[in-house]
Amino acid sequence: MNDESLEQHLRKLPQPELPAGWRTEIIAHALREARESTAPTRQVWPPFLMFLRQIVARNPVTASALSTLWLLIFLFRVSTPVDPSEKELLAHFDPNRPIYLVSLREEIQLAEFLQDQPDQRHDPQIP
Amino acid sequence: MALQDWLEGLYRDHAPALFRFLIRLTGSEADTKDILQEIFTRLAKSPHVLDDVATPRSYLFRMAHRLVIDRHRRDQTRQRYDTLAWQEREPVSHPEPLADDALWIQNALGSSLDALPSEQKVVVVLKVWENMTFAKIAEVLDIPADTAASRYRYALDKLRESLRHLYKDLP
Repeated sequence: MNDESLEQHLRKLPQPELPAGWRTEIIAHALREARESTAPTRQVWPPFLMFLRQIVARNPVTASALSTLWLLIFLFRVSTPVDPSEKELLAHFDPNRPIYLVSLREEIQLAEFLQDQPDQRHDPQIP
Repeated sequence: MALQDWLEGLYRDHAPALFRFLIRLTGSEADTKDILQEIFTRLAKSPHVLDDVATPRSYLFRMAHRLVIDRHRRDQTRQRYDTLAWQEREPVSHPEPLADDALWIQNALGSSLDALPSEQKVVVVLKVWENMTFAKIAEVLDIPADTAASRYRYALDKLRESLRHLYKDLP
């Protein structure tokens, strides 16, 4: 039996017929599902909070890891000394004494200048 | 109403072919109905999915095939969508000789076709009853055209082998 006759025999096999009653049922179901899927739904929780809630509520490992992280952050925050205020810092300085606010570069320039002119060492001139 | 008309048109044009395809693959009318329903539900939910499709028939066959595979994966214990190799299957029970030789061959051929591995059976169904080219079949099944052709060749060889004892006996 060659391919052609085999294909002919296959084509002659009785073909199952689509049951007539299915059409209404299938299309009605599809339309109902489509209507339900496009119906507006009120969101109780914003999506991000839902995501968080899902992580925290459904995974105890993640929940405990997050709690530990928050606890560490809190302890670090508590144990870190607060920076002194500007007023507290200024209280340590004599208001009558001038403060020269110079940069490191300017200090180096000043040192080089003083090295070049040793006679003016006692009366520095800021360049 | 427009959506309903569109669905009715699609059903009229493609549902019979999809039914033949699915019933051959699943072997179950209930599964066929579920999958057909799933296809039309998806189409109703996303009616624009066929807008850019050149041949809706191929697209629908591809969708049907994937749904059959999904269903098979979900429910492997039922083993309706048989993926066992031909050698691992139980021997096909050959029908008793009937008065009409053609009918006898048809019965044997139907049983042998049902017993083919699903990846070969699907190619035979698309080639013989849907008159698809191997290129189209490859597109539907997401396989190379050469693979589709070789699966068809293997399937025909197996079918011929299963009928060998019949046409030896025939006058």
